[in-house]
Amino acid sequence: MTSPTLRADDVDTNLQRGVEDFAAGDRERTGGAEMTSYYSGSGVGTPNLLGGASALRADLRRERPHDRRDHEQLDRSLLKRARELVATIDNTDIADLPVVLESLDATVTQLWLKAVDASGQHQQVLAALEHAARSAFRAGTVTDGQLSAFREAIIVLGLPTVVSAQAAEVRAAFVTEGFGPMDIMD
Amino acid sequence: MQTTTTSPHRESQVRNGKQVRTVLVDTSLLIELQKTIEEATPVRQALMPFRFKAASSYSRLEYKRAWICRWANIHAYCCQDGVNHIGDVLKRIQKAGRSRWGNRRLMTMLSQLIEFHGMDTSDLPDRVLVARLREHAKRRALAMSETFASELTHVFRGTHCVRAEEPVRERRTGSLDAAIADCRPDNAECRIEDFFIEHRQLFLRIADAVEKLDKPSDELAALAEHVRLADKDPTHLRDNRHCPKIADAIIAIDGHAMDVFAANNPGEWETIADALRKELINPCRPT
Repeated sequence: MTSPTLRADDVDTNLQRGVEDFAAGDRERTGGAEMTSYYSGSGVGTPNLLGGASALRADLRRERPHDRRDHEQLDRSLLKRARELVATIDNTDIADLPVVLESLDATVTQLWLKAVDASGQHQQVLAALEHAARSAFRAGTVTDGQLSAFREAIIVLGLPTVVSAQAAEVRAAFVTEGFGPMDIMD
Repeated sequence: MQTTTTSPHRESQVRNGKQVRTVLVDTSLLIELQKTIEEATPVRQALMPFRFKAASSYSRLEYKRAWICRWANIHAYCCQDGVNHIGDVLKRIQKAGRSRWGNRRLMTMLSQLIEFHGMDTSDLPDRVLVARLREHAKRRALAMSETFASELTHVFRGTHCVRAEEPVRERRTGSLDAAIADCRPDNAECRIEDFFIEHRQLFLRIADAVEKLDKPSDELAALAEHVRLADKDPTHLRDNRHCPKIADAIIAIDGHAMDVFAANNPGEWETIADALRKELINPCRPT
């Protein structure tokens, strides 16, 4: 396996690539405007989980080179499917919502097949997403804020490199939207 | 702005001539606030009228010991060599539980997690299931640590408990550091001794109230016993085998300036609130 090549200067490229991947899927529906606002952090009511390039540069500088070894990427087609399902929820009748949420839950679970060889931070983001997807499926409903958190987690999962601050932001966003860390306990 | 004293909580009680009710939130309710939105909402609503919501930093220690450390334990089992299947994790917990921890709660937590995510019926490969379990346990430990104070306006630090303030850390290897180191009289860095001396009368009032009960619970009986021991020698509390025995009293006295106590374990808190002459509310079981 080749040694790490990602440097702090590559962060913009890394981020841009993830956002472009997402926008490529989303553009079919929204013309990409939504993602442009994500990237600039100007989306109304949308926390900018990407944190900004400068914050990420600082995170990457803190991480040692051996932590940035190459990892397996998540399955792009499953990520695309998850993205499409999240987009579909917006237009789904409430009576049909459980079917879409079940598909989303199952799709996210299948992401583990490749995620098991991905970085620890990717796995943390996926765990948060899976937990939220399962909770939403069990509740049979999802709010706009929760959808926004789903979208952002999927964007982060598509990034070649995820740092701990991003994983923490994703965790926090799901908790803020009502997916509490203890929510399976009696 | 009218203020009665320079103390921050006193300041908060009267603003613009309006009385601002204050509440001390016990660990039991801080846990409820981390549960499903359906379970957390009644608690959140009950606390909403209180403009000032506080907890004791000692609650953070209880919260860490009771929940965060357990998730970190499950995470650690998943990371052990030779763990290739979820069954291996369960076996190791059962084996260790007999000698080191009361494993019933750990097994309950793990079983609920496995069932919640359908890992028991999943067709994913074993190593993927272990990775999923590991990451979900880690997510819970980290998220709980990060969200402890999210519902509060203030945390009292009367005992200056160092163990309570230590964060859960994720090492570069991905493992978690959630261990709570032992405190003994020669290494304890907190001020629990000073705290006890300063509030001795309140501690004794609680012990008196417990001793008047016909059948105090085991927890209350232990509390009274250790308050009496600390009364003879306050350094008795500079030991983490002893201070947890009076945890509820520490938490209540740390926040005794609050108007109301809120807790979900009335067995102990009714006696403590009565002794300190505070109103007690239980949002989980409204009257």
